[in-house]
Amino acid sequence: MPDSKEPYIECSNISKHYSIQLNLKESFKSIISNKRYTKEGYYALKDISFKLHRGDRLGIIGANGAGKSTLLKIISGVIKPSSGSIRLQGESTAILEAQNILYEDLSGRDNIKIVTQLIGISNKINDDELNFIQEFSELGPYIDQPIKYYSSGMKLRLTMAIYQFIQPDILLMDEVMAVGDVSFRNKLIASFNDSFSKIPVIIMVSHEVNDIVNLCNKCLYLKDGEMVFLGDVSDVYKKYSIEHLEKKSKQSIKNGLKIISHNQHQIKKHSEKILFSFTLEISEPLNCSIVFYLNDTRGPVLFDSLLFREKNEYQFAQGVHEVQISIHSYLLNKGTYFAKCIFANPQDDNHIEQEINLGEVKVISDDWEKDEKWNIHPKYPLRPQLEWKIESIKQQ
Amino acid sequence: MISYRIINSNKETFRDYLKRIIQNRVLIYPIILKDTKLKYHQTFLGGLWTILYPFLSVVLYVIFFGYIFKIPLEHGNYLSFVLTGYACWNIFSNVSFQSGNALIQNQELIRKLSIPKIIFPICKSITVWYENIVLLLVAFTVLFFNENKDYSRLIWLPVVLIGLFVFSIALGTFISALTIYKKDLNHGIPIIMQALIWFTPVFYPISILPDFLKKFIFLNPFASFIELFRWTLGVSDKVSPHYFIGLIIAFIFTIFSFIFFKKREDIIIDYL
Repeated sequence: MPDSKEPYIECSNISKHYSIQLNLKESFKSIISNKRYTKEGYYALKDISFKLHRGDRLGIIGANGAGKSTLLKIISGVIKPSSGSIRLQGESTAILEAQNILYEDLSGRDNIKIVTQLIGISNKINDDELNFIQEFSELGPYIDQPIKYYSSGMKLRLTMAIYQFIQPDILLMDEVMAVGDVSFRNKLIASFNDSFSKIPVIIMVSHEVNDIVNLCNKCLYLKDGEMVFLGDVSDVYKKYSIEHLEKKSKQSIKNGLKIISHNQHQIKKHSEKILFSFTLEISEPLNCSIVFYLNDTRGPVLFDSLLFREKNEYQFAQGVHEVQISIHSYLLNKGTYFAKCIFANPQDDNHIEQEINLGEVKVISDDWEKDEKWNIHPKYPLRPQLEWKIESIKQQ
Repeated sequence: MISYRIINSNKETFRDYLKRIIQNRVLIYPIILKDTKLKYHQTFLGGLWTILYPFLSVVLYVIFFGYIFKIPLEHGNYLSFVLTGYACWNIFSNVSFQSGNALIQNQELIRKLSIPKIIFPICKSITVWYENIVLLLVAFTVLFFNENKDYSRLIWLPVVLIGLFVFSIALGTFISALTIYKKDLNHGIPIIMQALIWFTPVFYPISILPDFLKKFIFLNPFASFIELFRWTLGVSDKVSPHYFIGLIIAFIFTIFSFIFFKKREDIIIDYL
């Protein structure tokens, strides 16, 4: 009987060390000099420890090369750790990837039969399941065509359909969210509540902090193979964004422009004004233009705003200045937004002199909105208050 | 009582490794299915191609060595001699040619699934056997053309076939583990096999060789298996006891290649 008190996965002091291979000249040297001539190599992972219980969803974040995928591969047993050990209750582990699971030259039907067996879904898929996959993937008559003639959307739909049957004890997801289109993402997120809900433990790697906040309850933040933070998802989220901002605002003194302070994290209600401010120290008089940008978490810039409408230029005198930018209330929809300012030389628009991250703002619903139906899906980034006019022309 | 799985840096014992191979045997069928489907997709003749090559070779050997050069045989007719010899040889050479790619072809699976990687060369060898089944069945028909109708030796046939099977798996395992490091072997194997067929009694009997060469032939495990196969099917009259040297070498090689692969199991993924 599985015990819910005992950790389902217990990872203790996992390290992975890669040694750098000697080239021909160096290995020859080591033979001649009769000394072990070795290079130091590097640690892909260093002392990772965590415990997960039944029902936990762990999200792993970190920059590229932080060791996220290596950790997944060690948990799945594909590569061995250099030291440390993992104790697992689950029998089967599956890695879920959005790409490279289908064989291009085989037909859709053959792919379903073979891939389901290979990734350990069932020994033999029966006709009902085959029909379900066929319907779910909306392939229709194309199911007997080789996969290479499919559009990428069709491939992703087929992949997703196959994954509906996956029932391992531990599911590992390696940046699945980043590849698919919106409908693929939505289907995957829906599976979390539906077909994946019975899986005891899910571990997912993602670049997108938002996905982890939405889908996971625990979060592990890796940096250069080391564990920076482990804990509840909301704490790590804060830590992650702050660290990102600090890193970016370090490069500061340039052309007599120095940013002293800027705000970092704020939570505002829909009806409140949002204020971004930062302090500048100018060591020599400076003529520059400033552009304000607002992004949402999905990536693209929502809008930009110029300092002045007529002439986007400001003459800074020597000294300390405070800049405030406010966004009026009832403009943004519920969600998280990132703001930045760019200082540019007015003579040369393309030349960016300085970029400041102004931090992020989380817009939450007003009290009266909380129970309203239309507030559930903050699909669109903007929800401005417009001027409405309703007049009755004829009354009966 | 909860059962745990432990992942750590310790070397797996041979017993656990064998256990894991047996646990993962269900994967052999889909891997073979996938390999075969990928190999013959968009061909018109499909699997016929694997049969065409050995049959063409046998026909050419019979025409040139049997009728034109007239190689003398102590016993039996030349067609059954070449057919039985080539059926075995074709399995060996196909396993050698194809095993070099066994791991590289499946690298995506190796990166995804934690299964003992020896499964892939095993699958390759099984595929080769399955492809050569027609050739083997044709080789069995020599029974009806033999002069002596003594079928008592046939009870040894399963033993010889199992030996052949295990040895071909060992051959594939060894070659695939070696090819991972340096891909040179992919180019070298055809040359080695081309040379080796001349030192194996496939299309000539060992009796026509000078004495000093015979000694080398006895060291060749391929020769031992081929001669034993012929003996069980009644193509040759007797088997020289010297051939057991080759069998012992084959046995040692089988154990060695399994250990060789097992030792490299964990680092294969770094070389893919």
